Amino acid sequence: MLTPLARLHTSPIRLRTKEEDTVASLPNKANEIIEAVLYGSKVVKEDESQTHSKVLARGKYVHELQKHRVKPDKVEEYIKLVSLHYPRIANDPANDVHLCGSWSIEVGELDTFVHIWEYKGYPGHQHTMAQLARDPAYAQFMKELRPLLISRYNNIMLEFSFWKTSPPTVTNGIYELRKYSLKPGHLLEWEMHWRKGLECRRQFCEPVGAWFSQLGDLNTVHHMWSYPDLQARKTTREEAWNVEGWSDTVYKTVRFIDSMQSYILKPLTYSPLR
Amino acid sequence: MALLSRQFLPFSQSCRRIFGTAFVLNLQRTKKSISFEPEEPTQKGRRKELIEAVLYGSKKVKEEERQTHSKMLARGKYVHELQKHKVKPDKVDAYIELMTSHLPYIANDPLNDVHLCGSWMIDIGEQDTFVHVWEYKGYPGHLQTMERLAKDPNHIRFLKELGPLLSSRENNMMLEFSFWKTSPPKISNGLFELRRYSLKPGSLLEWEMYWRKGLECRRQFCEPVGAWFTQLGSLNTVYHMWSYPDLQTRKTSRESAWSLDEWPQTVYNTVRLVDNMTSYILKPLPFSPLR
Repeated sequence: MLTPLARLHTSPIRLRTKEEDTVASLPNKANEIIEAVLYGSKVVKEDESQTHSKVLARGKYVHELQKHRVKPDKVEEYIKLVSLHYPRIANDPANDVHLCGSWSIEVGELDTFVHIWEYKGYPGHQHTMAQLARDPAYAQFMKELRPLLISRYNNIMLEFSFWKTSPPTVTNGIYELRKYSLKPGHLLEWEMHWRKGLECRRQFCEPVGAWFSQLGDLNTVHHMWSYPDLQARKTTREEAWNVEGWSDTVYKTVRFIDSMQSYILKPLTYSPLR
Repeated sequence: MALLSRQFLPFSQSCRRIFGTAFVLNLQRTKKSISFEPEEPTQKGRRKELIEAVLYGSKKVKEEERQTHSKMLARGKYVHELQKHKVKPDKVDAYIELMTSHLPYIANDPLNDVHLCGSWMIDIGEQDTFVHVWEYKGYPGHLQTMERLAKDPNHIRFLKELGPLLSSRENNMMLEFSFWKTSPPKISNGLFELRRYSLKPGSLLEWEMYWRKGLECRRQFCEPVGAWFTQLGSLNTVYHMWSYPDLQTRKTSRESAWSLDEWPQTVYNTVRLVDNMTSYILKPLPFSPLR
């Protein structure tokens, strides 16, 4: 009865009595194998004694991603309205908020606009919201904005520690916003593999920012890239595969993802990142 | 013998993946020596138990699955309804005005026999969206309330005025977990967080078991408002609501829970049973009993 197992393992098993040994070694070995297969290695488990946001976040700012779905016939009016108000809100020092950028989605959900705001942490966010609530110009802006929208959606997210959001830059190119919904519980492991792989991409193109969500859709990672045009995007992404480590990264990260989306964005004229 | 090997097939396929062919052959050889007599607590039996426990869950959970989950987990006294209204962005003010005049009217009429737990606006997440949680005296109470409202001309008029303000609406019937009574009316002047977890079908019992233990760690640091699992609408969904003074306090109280041993273990055990997680920050409407 012991023979098939003995072919797999080395001498220690052979030395013990068949019944005791099979059962004694089996639960322990089996437990370890099962644990590693089902639950991930013990290393990851130790990392998980802290909340992910403490482990991964840069911790200085809190970012908000706003998504506005605009009625298709109101797009021009919308652009005019936000072009007037958003720089005003961002440039008022009393509001203590920074606008990272404003974009329209060119490929993906059309007539949809993305804005990323940067607050000084949650206390800063609260302060800014209180300020805006008292501002009559903001109330007027919201009143004019609402009839132009189908719906709006926002997400509070944190920057990854290894990737500061890019300061204002003029590239005159296009932007790509990728959204990955991870399977719950895998953010740490995904981040570990992805961080390593990023060095392969960095050689060829300009990373703009990467964030993981805290409020709104959870287990979601957004990351933004900048390219001169779509052809350059194609060749840049292809080149990364020549670097050792990139294919490994893709392989290791892709299995933690439930769904992936990619939007091509065009910055609005006043966007600090454009 | 033929019957035994047919029963054994699912075992071997899964085992093969984890343990390798040799192990499976060993097991099959073991199985042949066991007849239709009741299983003795032998070593062979224990090995089989180990595999079964890994692949199918402990026998204890299996026994518990002889009852519907709602009987096992629910407090059983009330039935709750979660209404979600997506309001047209330019109709929000009109919507709030309409709700403020009508919802307390429904809730305060004793003949309607329904209680409004709370009304909130989603501040972070799907914006211009409103959440209302109603409490009925069981399904019979729900039927009675619905029948009364259907005959009430004020309510009929309300629905007519509500229609044009909405993009869409959805609702969910849910039951409270037995260990977590929905909070009575309370003024906290803070914000609320509504978390929605879509569990992988079939994992509700297991998820609840781990989460219930872990909750004690969270309870020390913040105020749980309510927890429900769905019965009608999106199934295998759990909603739970929390209350915080502000977002920074929310951050620190959530971080504090990680300092207790139980909490990381709970997160680890529960998170793998979840398909999807969403978190909304809610702001109570002025008339909400929970605000």
